[in-house]
Parts: sequence; structure tokens; C-alpha cells
Amino acid sequence: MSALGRLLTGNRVWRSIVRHGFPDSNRNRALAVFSNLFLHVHPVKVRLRAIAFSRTFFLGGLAAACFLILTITGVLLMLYYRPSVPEAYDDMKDLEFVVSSGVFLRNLHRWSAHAMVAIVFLHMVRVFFAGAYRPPREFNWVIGVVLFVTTILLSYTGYLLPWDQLAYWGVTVGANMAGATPWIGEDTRFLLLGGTEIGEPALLRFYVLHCVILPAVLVVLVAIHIWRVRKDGGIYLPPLDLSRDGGGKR
Amino acid sequence: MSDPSPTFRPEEGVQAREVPVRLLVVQGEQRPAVDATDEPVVMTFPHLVVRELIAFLALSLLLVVCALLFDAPLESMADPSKAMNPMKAPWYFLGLQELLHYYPPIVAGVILPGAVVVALAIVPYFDINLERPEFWERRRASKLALTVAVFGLISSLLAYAGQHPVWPLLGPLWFVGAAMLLPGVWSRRRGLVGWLARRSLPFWIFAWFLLTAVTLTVIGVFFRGPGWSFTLPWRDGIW
Amino acid sequence: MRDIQVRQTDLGMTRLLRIFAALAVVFVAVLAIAPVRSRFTEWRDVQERYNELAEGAGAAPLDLAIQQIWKPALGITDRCTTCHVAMGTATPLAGEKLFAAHPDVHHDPADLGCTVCHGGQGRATKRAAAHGDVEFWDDPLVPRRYAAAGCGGCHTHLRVPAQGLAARGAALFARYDCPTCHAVDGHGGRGGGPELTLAGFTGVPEDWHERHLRRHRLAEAGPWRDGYGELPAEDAAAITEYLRSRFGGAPLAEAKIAAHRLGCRGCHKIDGAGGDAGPDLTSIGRRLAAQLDFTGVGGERTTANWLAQHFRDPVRVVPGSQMPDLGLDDAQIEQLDLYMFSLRALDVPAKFWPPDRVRAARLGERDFATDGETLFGVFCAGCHGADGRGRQFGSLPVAFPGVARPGFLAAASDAFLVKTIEQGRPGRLMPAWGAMDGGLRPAEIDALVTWLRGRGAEDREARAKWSLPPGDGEAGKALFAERCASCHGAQGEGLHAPQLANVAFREAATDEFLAATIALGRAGTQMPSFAAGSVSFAALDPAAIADLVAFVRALPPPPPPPSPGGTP
Repeated sequence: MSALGRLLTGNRVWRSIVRHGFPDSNRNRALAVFSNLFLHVHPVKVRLRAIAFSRTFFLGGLAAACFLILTITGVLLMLYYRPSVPEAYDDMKDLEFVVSSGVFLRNLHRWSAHAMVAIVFLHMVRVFFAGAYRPPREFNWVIGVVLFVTTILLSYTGYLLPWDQLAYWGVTVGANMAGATPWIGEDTRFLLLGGTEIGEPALLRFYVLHCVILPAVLVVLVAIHIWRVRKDGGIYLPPLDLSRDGGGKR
Repeated sequence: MSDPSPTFRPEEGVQAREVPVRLLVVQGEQRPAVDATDEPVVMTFPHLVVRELIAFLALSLLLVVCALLFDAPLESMADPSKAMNPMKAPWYFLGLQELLHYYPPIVAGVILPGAVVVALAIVPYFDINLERPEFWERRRASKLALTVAVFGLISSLLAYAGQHPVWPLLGPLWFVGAAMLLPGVWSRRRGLVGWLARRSLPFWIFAWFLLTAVTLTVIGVFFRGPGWSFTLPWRDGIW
Repeated sequence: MRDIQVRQTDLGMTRLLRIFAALAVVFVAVLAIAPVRSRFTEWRDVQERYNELAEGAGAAPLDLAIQQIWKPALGITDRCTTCHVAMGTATPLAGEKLFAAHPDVHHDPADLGCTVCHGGQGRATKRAAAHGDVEFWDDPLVPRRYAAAGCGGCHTHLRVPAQGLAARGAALFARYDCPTCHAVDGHGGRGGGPELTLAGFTGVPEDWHERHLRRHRLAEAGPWRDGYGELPAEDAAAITEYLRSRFGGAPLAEAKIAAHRLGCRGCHKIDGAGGDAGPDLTSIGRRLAAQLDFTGVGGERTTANWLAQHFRDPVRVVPGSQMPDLGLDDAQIEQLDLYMFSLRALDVPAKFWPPDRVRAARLGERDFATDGETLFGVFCAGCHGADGRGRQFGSLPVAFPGVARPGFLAAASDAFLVKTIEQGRPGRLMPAWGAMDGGLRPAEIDALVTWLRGRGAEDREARAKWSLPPGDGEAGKALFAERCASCHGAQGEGLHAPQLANVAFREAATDEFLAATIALGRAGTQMPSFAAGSVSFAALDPAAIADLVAFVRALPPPPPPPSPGGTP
């Protein structure tokens, strides 16, 4: 096994890609983390308490995982989708009947979207009850709240795209809620829908919001969010010394 | 005005190297330092990375299985002339939609959710601790009266503005209220009551939001049928 | 290597790595299910079976792939030929119905696709979704039995011809030796003129006779010189009507013509023409079985069955329906079903419209002949009877007057008839055909009155005898209660006899008409001759009749009906 491993990882090509040795020494393991673009969101070493499953349930990471799945399936779906009437609905039918694994793709996107909303919400609840929102992480909590709203908006804008009855009337309810805002409600609704009724302009707007604007906002905010967690020394852990109130057991 | 503007000279060659280089700045640290601690640490690779990958794989597996087993809904093409009944938003909005059942759109659709989001965002800026041991220790009677008065005020506001009986809103509120007042009437330092006694105000507010949101969403998803009338999920199905 | 150090900080790493490996294997395996599953489809099985059979029959095998007929201009993407391969490009195979060629029809399926005529979901590649019985169905398949109704998608305005004129035209067509050159319905045509079997679909130019004459005058010799000559204008018009009624025996045309003798449009609007008493039927052919209430319907849950049972007994299928049981036989119901399924106008671009649809949509031309007889069949026959002799339905309280009976026509003046048709009887079932949307045009009302007049002449002399001096309404009151109220109601509000208090009725009817009707009665109805008397009651003298007329004139207007449409 290790002979094969050495053959694989010892050659020039591998070493040109991964510039450290096989991660069986602490030095190489440290290098594996901080010389890797994706892993360097983590420090080289983490506190033992932080990696327990019951500490975070990995909810933040899983939310990001959902976003990854959604991005991959979403980009593939974009290949088969035209944001116009009635093509949008026809394309749903084509996904079902002629695109290889088209139904699977749409299902995975749909269920992952629901999962992401739920996971982001649970992440927020978990973070709150852990007390991680308190100074000095207060601004990251605010970013988190904005991220939660962005996630919901992403899911909501995607909800219209199949252009079926469920989508149309579901979005109608939401758009009417926005329209109830005092003073700016009607204008907000008009801006969102590109008209006074949900029609093709609304579909196009929701499409652009769903595929470009909101994901871009989400990526930037997630980057800041994770970066700040890293800069604040990793995830929040309650202090070990809580002797005053008989805590301590944490 | 009459001063000649300073001339900037590109640093080149050897001179460029002579420009002083700042090596170190020592200043007051604003962010939490990653102090050396005595507690055990482990290498991120592989201990954290492997756990993350397992979680990621497990979730992906779950979603893929769901995608294989359950088809995403697709009804007939959108038709503005054929209104759906009930007209339901996506599930995460059904709590709000349920709220719309009780209050006019401007309150339920804008003011209340807006207030909740703003409240969530500003919570950490109030210097309130996670735990709060002192609250019930002194002047207990007046504090009890004050708390009951606040809950009564909120309850009557909710009930007064409601267009229908607002039990789904009062239930979570009173549940949270009861849990909050319990240590006030039954003083214990240990166990559940002791733990409740140390909860802070943001904890209670958040618990209230959470419980209300979950209650309303569950009602909206499972118990609302045509015309937004009460129904049972096994009679009319869900969303 | 440095295994020892790894062990020291193991923290269950061996177990975690095993979990990770197991999960990764399972994940990849499960992820592979979707693409693998998409290889196992119904249409692949079908095409593979075709290839097996084709090998035996020596036909070229297919490359397994989804086939489609794609016509963006018509908005169709029809993948039906993926399974019905021989209706696409593959060679038909004998013995297997699925692999048969399309029957020979006027249109090439490769031009128009499948769903334009047959309905159904062309995009689907699964049997159930393409044919029917799936949730949220967009477009139901036209039942095989009523396949001819599919033509109704485009041929929305097949013209209902004037029967009498067309019959005369048929005789003239033969008498003038037209079949020498033109073939119609398989007869004649040796002279090489265009076949006219489908002239009803393709249209007949108004000036065909002038064009023929021009050729005749220019010809030096031959059939044009010797075989043609001038025709009287009314003969040419009769032949035109005959040719316009040639649909090659198309079942849809036959069904539509039959339906338009039953008077459906007296109560139902179809494409903007017809009454308002019943539902608009313009797109009844697209009605989904899922949208229908099958509570009172036995048998299978199909639109066809629902319609058939409804025609047989409307009130049982739709409780509270005002539609009477028209006493239709099975053949009529079959034709009505077919006609109903044909009411499925497609929103295809105008360049695909047949000429009659263009004329109807752009020029407002009727899709039925506008002679009195046809009009009576289209609008009046449902209530007044196909022969105009009046009708009484078990489910409705009133009798509809026999407007084509000689006794009525003798008393009624043309002005009375025109006014009655124009203004109807407000509050009763008789609509104001002159004023309403989808009603009759002035010329059509005149044509109707002319046709009615042909059923019975006006007898002015007989009526003039009943031009009486004004009577005493107070005196007529007791008489009315005694003699008239049992049928016409105490206040003339109309029980099973006509509503005498009706404002429009009294406006249209002259005193003379009222007096003559009371005096002479209506033969064939329950209205007796009061001037003659009978064994059960004494005759009335002219003064008493004048008193009755005065009382009817003074009746208060009837109360408005409880609901729009009201009791008849």
C-alpha cells in the first residue's frame, strides 16, 4: 500500500502539483492544510473539542456543501433552461422526457435547495444557543443573518423558474407580501417583477437573480464569513474555565 | 498654493532596495488572539478533514437517494386565470403566510418579519451576557410583576391586532414565559430550573422567535387547506 | 514509515477512514443509478422489439434514439414517432399494430405532427404521460373512437350548409352534367376537371360560374365550347351550396351538421355565437375528465362517457341543470359526443388556418348557412322543436310555444314575430336575439321570419274580425281568474302557458292579436277557442273578450326572476 502510495506521490508530476510529501508527518500534514487553497480555511491545528460532531453537527460546512451541490446541478440545469414563456415549462418537460438523468438533476437541485434552507436555519439556531454571536463575533453573526436571508431569496427566486402553477401562485403570495411594504411596497414589487404582474419579465429577473446576482452575493458573504471565523481563532468554544458558576464541565 | 508639488521618483535598481522595509508593527490587538492554550489540539489533516468529508458524503448520499426516490413537483403550466386553492408559498414562507392569516399584510408581511430580522442582527450589540445569575436574586416580587406585565402586554397586543383567534401565537409566547418565570417562583441553583435561571434575555427572545416560527410553519405546511381553512394533513395532503 | 506517531494521535482515525471509504463507495454506486436508470426506458424496449421484427421482415433496423417531429411555427415537439416508429421514418411492419403506418389522411403527419390532431402530450416519451391519465395533464388525447374530432383543432368553422338549397343544388349538379368533368364522392370526373369531393374544406369561389363562362367564351371547340353554357343565378347559387356541403363524408362535418339541427346554440355559445342560458361550449373538447363531477355517472370515468350520460339525462349528471332531456337516440348522442370533442380550437398561427376559419375570424362570416330553415335548426329547434310545433319537457314547468303552427302564424303579424325574436321575453328563457352578444343579425331575423311565414300564412281577415272596441279591464278581472289563471297565472305571470304580463310580449302583441288568439285558440295546444266554447265551458261573447284584452293590457309587470336565466 505504502509502496504504491510512494510510487503515486513520489513522482515529479505529483510533486509539481502537491508540493509536500506524503502527509504522514506533522510537518507534511501542516503543509497539506496551508498549501492547499481549499483547506487553508482551516488552521493547521484545531482544538480537540472543536471537531466533535455534537459540537457543530458540521452545519456550516454542510450548508456550504449544499451550495456546492446546488452550483453543480444548477449550472447543468442552465444548459437545458430558457427563461421565457412557455419555453421554461417546456424545458421542464424535456428534462423529464429527453435529457439523460434530467429528472434526477432537477430532483437533486430541488431537494438540495430545501436542505440548504433548513441547514442554514439550523446552523443559525445552533450558533445562537452556543452564544457564538456575542462579541467579538457580533459582525459575523450579522453577516450570518444576511446569509440566511440571501439563502431564502435564492430558493424563492428559483421557485418561479419551472413556471408551473405551484411556482406561479407560490411566488404570487411572496410578491404580494413585498407589495405590502409601506411607501416603497408597490415600487419594490414592480422592480422585482419587472411589471405589475408575474410574467415573462418577472421570470427573466428571477432567473438572473437566481443564477448570477444572489449566488455572487452569497459567495462573497460566505468568503467573509469563513474568513472571519478563521481570523477569530476557529469556531467559538466556551471558555474552559467557568468555575464561577459551576460550569466547568465544558 | 505656491509650494511646488512634490515630485515622485520611481525607485529603481539598487535604490529600490534601499527603501526601508517595514518588518514589524506592534499595535494594540483588536481581535481575539489565538492564544496558546493548554487544551489538547489535533492536526487538522486528517482529523478534521476526514470528519468533514464524511459529513459531506453522508449528506450527498442522503440527497442523491432522495432525488432518486422522490420526484420534484411539477404541475400544469402557470395560468394566471386559474388560481390555486390553497395558494401556498414555498414551505419556508408558510410561517409568514400563516401570520398573514392573523394580521394585515403590512404587519404580518413586512413589520413583524422585518423586526425579527433586525432584532436578530442587533442582538450581539447589546452587552448582554449569555448567562445571567443575578436576575431573580433581588427584588424578586417586583421583577415577577414586571415580567408578567410585559408578557400580558405582548399577549394583548397580539390578540388585539389579530383578525382570528391567535392561539398559535400565544401558545409559544406563554410557553416561553412560563419557562422564564419558573426560576422566579421556584428558586433552585441546580438542575433544569437552575439552568433556566441563568439564561439571558436574548436567549428567551430567540427561543420565542424560534418556537413561534416553527409552530406557524408547521401549521401552514400541514394544517391549512382550501381557503386557508383548518384541515388535517392526511385529509388534504401537505403543501 | 512513521506509523507509531499516527497511532498516538489516532482518535478513531482507522474507523473514520473505513467509514469514509465505505461511504465513498456507496455514494459512487448510488450516483451511478440515475444514468443507468435512464438507459432502461419504455421506448428503448419498443424500438428493440421493432428491430427484432424488422430483422425477420427484412426491414432496415433503427438506431435506438428518440424521434421527434419539430415544428416551431406550430409550437409542436411531437415525440410520438419514438414508439410509433412507422408513422415516422421507419418501414411499417405487418402484424404489429404499434408498427403500422399512419392511415392515409388528407394531411401528411410529417407536416403537422401528431398532437395537432390527436391531442396528448407530444413532448412525453413515456406511454402514460403521452397518452393520458397523469396528473396535471395539459392536453387530453382525443379518444380513438372520436379521432375525427381532432380536425376541430384547426377546422373550427366547418360550414353547416342550407339543407334545402344544397339538395336542390345536388339535383342541378347532376342535371347540368357537371359530373362529366368533376368527380364528387367517387362519381364521374372522366373529363378531367378538379375533384370536388372535399370542396367543403377547400372552399368554393363565389365566381366559379363567371370563370367557367369566360373559359367557355374563349374556347374554340371541345368540352368548354360544347359542354358549358349560361346558368340561372339561383341555380348557380344552389350548386355552390351543394358543393360547400361536400366534406368527403368527413364524420366531423356530418356530426356538426347533425348537431346544428338540434338547436344547441339556442342556449350555448360556441365561438361567440349562441345563447347564454347554458355554459359556453367553445373549448368543451379540451375538458379534462379530472375536472368533471362523476357523482351521477355510472361506468368509466372518461369525458366521452360523461358527455354521453349527460346527453341522456342532463339533470342526473348535473343536478339543477336546466338542460332538458332532448330525447336523443344513441346515434345522435354519438354524433354529439364527436362534435363536443371537436370543440378544441388550437391557437395555431393564422397562416395554418383553413379558409373558412379565416373568413369567420376576419370577416365575421357565420359557420352555418343563414337561410331561415338552417337558422331555426341552429338556434330555435332545441326549445320550439325541430319542426317548430312546440315542446314540453318533463324537467321544465312550461311548454315552449309552437311557433311554426299555422294557427299561431295566422294570428301573428310579421312585425310581432320580428319584435319577439329581437326582444325576446325578458325574464323568461327566450333571449333577446336582436340585442344580445352572439345573437342574430337583422338579415338573419328576417330570414327566420320568412321561413316561418312559409309554414303558415297570416290571416288578416280572420284577425280583423276581432278588432273590437275597448273593453272594461275591471270586468275582465273576474273572467281572467275564472278562465285563464289556471294556466297563465293569476297575474299573467305564466305557469305552463306563456307569460302574458311580460312587458316585451305586450309591447309586441296588438289588441287584435290578443283578441283573435283568445277567440280562436291555438290548435294543437291546450289553448281552446273561447269564442266557440266547448262541452265544459260556455262561449265568450266579443265584449267579454274585449274585457279580457283590457285586463291583460293593465296587468302589472311580472316580478323579476329569482336568478339570471330564471324559470322558463
